[in-house]
Order: sequence, then C-alpha cells, then structure tokens
Amino acid sequence: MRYCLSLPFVILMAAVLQTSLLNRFLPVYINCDVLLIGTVCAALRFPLERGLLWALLSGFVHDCLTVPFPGMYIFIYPLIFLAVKILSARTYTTNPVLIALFVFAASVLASLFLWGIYRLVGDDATYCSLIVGAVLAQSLTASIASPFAMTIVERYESFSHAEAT
Amino acid sequence: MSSQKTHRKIFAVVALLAVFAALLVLSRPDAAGNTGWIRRVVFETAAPFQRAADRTASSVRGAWNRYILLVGLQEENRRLRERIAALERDLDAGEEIKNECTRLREMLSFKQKADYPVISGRVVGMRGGSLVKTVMVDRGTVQGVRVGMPVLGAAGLAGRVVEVSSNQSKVLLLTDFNSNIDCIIQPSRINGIVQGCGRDEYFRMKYVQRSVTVEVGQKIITSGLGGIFPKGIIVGRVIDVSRSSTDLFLTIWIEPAVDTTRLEEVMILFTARSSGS
Repeated sequence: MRYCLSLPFVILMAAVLQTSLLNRFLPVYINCDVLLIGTVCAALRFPLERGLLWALLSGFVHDCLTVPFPGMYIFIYPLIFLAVKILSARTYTTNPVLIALFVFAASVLASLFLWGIYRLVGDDATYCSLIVGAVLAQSLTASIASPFAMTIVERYESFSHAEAT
Repeated sequence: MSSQKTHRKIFAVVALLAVFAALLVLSRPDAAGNTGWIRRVVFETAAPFQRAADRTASSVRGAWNRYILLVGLQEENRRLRERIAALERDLDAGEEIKNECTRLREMLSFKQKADYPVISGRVVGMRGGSLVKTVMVDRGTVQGVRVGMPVLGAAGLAGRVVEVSSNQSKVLLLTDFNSNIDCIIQPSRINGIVQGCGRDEYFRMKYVQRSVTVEVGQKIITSGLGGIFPKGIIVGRVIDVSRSSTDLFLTIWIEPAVDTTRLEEVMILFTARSSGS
C-alpha cells in the first residue's frame, strides 16, 4: 500500500527533476532520461507487478508532461521494462557496470522504438545523425547516472517494504 | 499454492494494463481539441513543483551568471542582446509592412494589418527527450490561453500551444517532428511547409518547386494560411538549399529565428481563431 501511494509522487518528482532541472543545466545535445533509468532499475529490483506499475506510471507521466500526443512512452517504457526483466533473470545484476550496461542498452532500445514510431508517422532524412549524436550521448549519460539511481531505487524499495516487516 | 500465486500475478498485470488503457482513453483530447481532463490533472499537480524547480534553477543560474562570471558585463551584454533582438524584430516587421504596402498599393486597396493582444509566460519545463521538442509554460486557461495559440520568443516564432490546463500549457516547438507550418520565403513570396527535424539548430522547408531560386540568408515568415499563425511572423533564415536531380521539390534548410534551447520567457499571441473570439 505504501508503495502504491508514494509511487505517483516519486515518479512526478523524477519527471520534474528531469524536465525542470537537469535538462536546463545539461548541454543541449545531452538529455538525461531519469524516468527511463528508474524503469530499468525497477526492472532489476522489483517483482513483476510492482515494476510494471512503475513503468506504466513513468510512461504516463512522461507522456503527459512532455509529449505532444498521448500514448508514446506509456507504450515504450513497459516494453523496455519487460525486455530488461527477461534479460536480467539470467544475470547477476548488482554489479554497477552491469547496471550501467543495462541502462545503456535500454536507452538505445527506447530510442530505436521512438525512431520506429517516427518512421511510421512520417518521413525523415536527418534521423541517422540523431541516432549517432543525441541518442548515444543520452544513453551514455543515462548509464553513468544509473548506479546512483540504483542506490536511490534500493532505498525506496526498503522504504516501501517497511510496512511488511 | 504456486498456481494460485501465478494466477494472482496474471490478474494483477491484466488489471494494471486495463487501468492504464482507461487512463489513456481519458487523456485523449475532447472533440473541441481541449486537453483530456486526466492530463490536465497531471499538469496541475506538476505545476507547483515545476515552478519551484524553475525558481531554484533560475536563481542558481542567475547567481552563476551575475556574480561568479564577470559582474556587470554579463548584465549589460544581456540588455544589449535584448535591445538588438527588439530592433531586429522591428526591422523585420517594418520590412514586412513595406512589402505588404507595395502589394496593396498595386491592388489599389488597403487592409490594416491585424494586431493581437499578447501575454507573456515563463518556461518552467523543457525537453522531453532528444527527439521530443516541447516546453511547459506557466500560463493556462485561467489567463486565457487556448490550444492552438502561437508562441513567440524574443526574435520570432517559437511554436504553438498544444495542450492547456488551468495554470500551465504545453508548447510544441517548431523544431519538433510534429510541427508543420505554412510559410513563405519573404522576398519571393513562395509558399512551403516548414517542418521540424528533431534538431535544435535547424529545420526544413518542403514542397517548394525546383524552379524557384532561393538564396542563403533569405527570411522565412509565416504565411497566415490555416488561420493559426498571423501572417508575417519571422520563423528563420535560409542556411542551405538541397537540390536533387530526382526530386520534384527543393529542401530548404532553415536556421530558427528563436534559439529554442535557451527559451526562458515567451509571448503567447491571442489570435482570433485560437481564442475562440
């Protein structure tokens, strides 16, 4: 219960941190997708139902606050979550390097999904340079930030489990 | 026991998906194009936190710019830049009025250029991702903002309002893939569609005939067609022209008049169509 009540607030704060603080101070070509990092960390730490709730809520809030039309990230984040969940079932994921690699791969995957969506809705001649430039920069930033994010997610996990103990 | 647990898990996942599918449906805009109520709730909930974060960011940035970097010079530079932007805007407006007068005289008629009320707003959130080019502005329906209103930066057009709640609105920038605006090349009066490329440094103009001569440095302004953007607002300047032997049309690359990565204050234009008056 504590998890369900506090999660919307946590996700909203992460979205505000991303849109109103980090993106203001980071260089233009670097975008730190805090909600995506959180989703990957949730996939590595939480059971399926809790993690899926995290991913769906992150996608929904991201859609509401940044995307001009509804339904883009609410589709992408759960897919990323499931991909990471399936892959991480076979690996030991407390190592920070592995976590960073997972986040890097997830960020690239999310960008590829976005690319697919944009390709579906219209033509694009300049996307290749975006993939190499913006997406790689974004993925690297996300992977560097992921060990810190994981620490916060772990603390949040113990906070949300406190009611059960 | 284990099977019961699995069933419970499946039920929870299905229930979650159903709830969020319902949320998606509720967040759709209504028939009049107004933002879905559930999205308005998220906007309004995030608004105070975004404003607080914006104030924090502004004060930190302000302290850095004003005191740690060269005191005084920075402030003077900012003032002069604003002055230059204002003068350039006046010059652009004058040039457009001159062109318009010439054409109108030729037609032996006169039509007064429409003048719209403006409200200023502060950018409180920006950049949803590398490809999503939107900003959040701290003005909403309470201040009279409606979906579709044009948004201007200091030097020209920045975008348009796509979603609005009571005290906050989302602006789709010209650089976003989803932004398509009917514009004209100022000296030749040739129409084309200006579309964002997902890049902050440039966007492109499509559907301009290959036979047209376009030169680097020419200004691109809104055409006024479609009724959303008033005619004559500067959008950018031509920086390159791609002329392929197989294409029917030119692709014109344009440098935005407004640096959308540094937007802090914007002006929202109360045009007749978007305000519903």
